[in-house]
Amino acid sequence: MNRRLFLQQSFQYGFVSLAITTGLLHPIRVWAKRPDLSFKSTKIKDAINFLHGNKEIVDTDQIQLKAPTIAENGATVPLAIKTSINNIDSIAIFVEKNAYPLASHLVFHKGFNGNFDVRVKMSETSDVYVVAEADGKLYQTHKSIKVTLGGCGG
Amino acid sequence: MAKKMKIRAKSIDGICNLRLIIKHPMEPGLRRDKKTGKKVPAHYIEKVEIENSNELLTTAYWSGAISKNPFLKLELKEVFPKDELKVTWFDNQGQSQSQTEKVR
Repeated sequence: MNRRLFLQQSFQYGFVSLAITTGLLHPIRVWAKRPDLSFKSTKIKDAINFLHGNKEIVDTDQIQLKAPTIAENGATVPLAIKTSINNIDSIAIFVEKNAYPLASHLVFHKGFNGNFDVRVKMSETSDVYVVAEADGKLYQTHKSIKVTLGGCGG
Repeated sequence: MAKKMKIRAKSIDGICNLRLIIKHPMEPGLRRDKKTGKKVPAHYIEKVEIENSNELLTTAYWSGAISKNPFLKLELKEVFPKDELKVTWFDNQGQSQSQTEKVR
């Protein structure tokens, strides 16, 4: 390695490491941050606003939310979500009457096939909203679930 | 510390069915201990990442409203047998765990 090459390379590496430490070259996942403000909202409207801004949300039947109409135990309410919408970027689940409505926010970077199951807690009988984001548009569906035994405790 | 996650991943025609169970108390921080009357401190998973050979596929952000020992089923496109899916979780007390599973 001659002197010129050495100087050149050290300069380049120096720049790259500087860029990484200053946050210019962070991997993409860093930009997708946890929506803490939304998770801390106590009202469903605020939670949606913090997550998606004041955009219009379209009701759709292209998202199906499969869940029991009566859940015996609010500690585990199984939800199955199925959608035929293409290019889904994220799906959020809101339980309206929980202390903090936003339960789960899934961000899909690649390869989502429009199908997932998760189990949530519900403190009382409430509507569950599923809000999906695809190509900058928002879609939602909801279902009322009756809970006979609350799962969030006192 | 934490027990192993249970991960099952099976791919048929390039569509992978991933199921996972994480052992975790998922304490939302709202519950009171019945004996002492004190609040049970929050302890829940904040983030789960699913990767396929260092490429991030899905990030799940969770709150304490996800059930204890959380279960997640997810269908993923373009994941084939012998691929290795890596699942990593992070909780609000700074703990984390990572595990890889070969797709069948």
